[in-house]
Amino acid sequence: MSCLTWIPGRSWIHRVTPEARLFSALVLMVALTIAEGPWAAMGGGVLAVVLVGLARLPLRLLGHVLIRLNLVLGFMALLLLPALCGSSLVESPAVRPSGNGFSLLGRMVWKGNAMVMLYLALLATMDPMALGLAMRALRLPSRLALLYLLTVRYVDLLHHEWERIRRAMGVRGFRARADRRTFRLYGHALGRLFLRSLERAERIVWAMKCRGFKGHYPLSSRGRWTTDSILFAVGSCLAAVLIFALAWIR
Amino acid sequence: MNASFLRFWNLSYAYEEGRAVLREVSGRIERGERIALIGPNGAGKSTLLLLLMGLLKSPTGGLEILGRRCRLEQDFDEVRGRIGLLFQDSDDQLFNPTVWDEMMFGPLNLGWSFSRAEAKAKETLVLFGIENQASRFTHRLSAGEKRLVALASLWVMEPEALLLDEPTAGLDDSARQRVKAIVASFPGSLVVASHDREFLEGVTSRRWNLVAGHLEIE
Repeated sequence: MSCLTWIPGRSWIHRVTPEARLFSALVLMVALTIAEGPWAAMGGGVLAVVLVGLARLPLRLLGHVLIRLNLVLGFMALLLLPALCGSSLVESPAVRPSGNGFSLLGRMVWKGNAMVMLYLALLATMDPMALGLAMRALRLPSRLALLYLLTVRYVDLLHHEWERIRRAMGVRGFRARADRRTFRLYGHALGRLFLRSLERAERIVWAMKCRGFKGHYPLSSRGRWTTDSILFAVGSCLAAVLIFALAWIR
Repeated sequence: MNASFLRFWNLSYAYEEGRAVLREVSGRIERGERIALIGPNGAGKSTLLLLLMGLLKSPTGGLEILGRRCRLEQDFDEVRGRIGLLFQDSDDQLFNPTVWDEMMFGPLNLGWSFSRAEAKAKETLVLFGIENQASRFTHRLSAGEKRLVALASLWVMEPEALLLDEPTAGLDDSARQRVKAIVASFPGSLVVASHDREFLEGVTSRRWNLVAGHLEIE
């Protein structure tokens, strides 16, 4: 079992190539972040909902993610409330919300939700490995892509190694308690995990060297841009332009 | 010139001070020679293979590949593509996202043209009977498939020698037979470290025995 999950499916979005989806996600997220004004936010939100619909995301999962997101946002709003209200304790003991503060908060929550929906619809619908390949195909910084790919490749192995260590402790009667011995044993286990990871990292570098690696990671396939994916990318650019246009409406 | 493919002398190695795994071992591998490297657990079989590839460095002795003395990292860089080392744990070897990337990694590093690398990768996948696995992600393969892909990823570089570290460990019988058939058809020099007697008898013709840090050549 993998500890990295994604949302498989057979929707139209799932069939668009990962490169086109990553490209679109980047363009749309940048547009949504930069474009100001309620209309732009509204446009982005509608677009996100449409994409979620097209990707046929399971509603339960969508609900779970959005509830968690909004709990965090709500917590942040609580922390920011004094600033949002523009009231000071000296001036008035009662909280007098300022319209401006609340509209900013509203926009933050709205855009946050729209972003996460965009992310779920476009990026969470592809295998994490495919996302890394798309990063490379789009010529995003190659070190970033390589780092991401190696992480995805080996995070599972690390997870398995940790499970193995824990199971080995479990079969010999170890039960976690809140005492010194538990902490010490967990310390040993973590140390062991760290050592094994270091050793593995060394062997991976060896394996890379053995196959002629000299610091440059070659790109092993040429991009595959199908008509569908080009249309999708162009469509996203148009949508981004539309969002910017909406920002001009007063 | 009539130099050995690989010649080494007085190689030693210790992971902990005072506990040498290898003590001044010497030997040579001729072109096309097929050697079984045997010895008990911890005898230093893997260590010897790593020394031969220049991945570990011996404080004593030396190493010559194709008549060329190899001391520094650069010397080894040039010969590594010509010798393939199969690691004991396939997960160490398969770090690329997909089987296809795995196949293209070596040849492109060697500076081959894209089309040459592509052609050789396809040919190798067919030879190994895994042409329908090209787009699979390597970490989702079974142990047997991983071993085949790891071997294929070396084969595709057209090495003149293969060093195999426990090629059949942890494999079921059918995977083992496939690995055996492929290794048996390899035309170059071969060193196989293994405990699998039947496998060794099938693919090798000489024996090197590692005992207590010394290499006995039969």
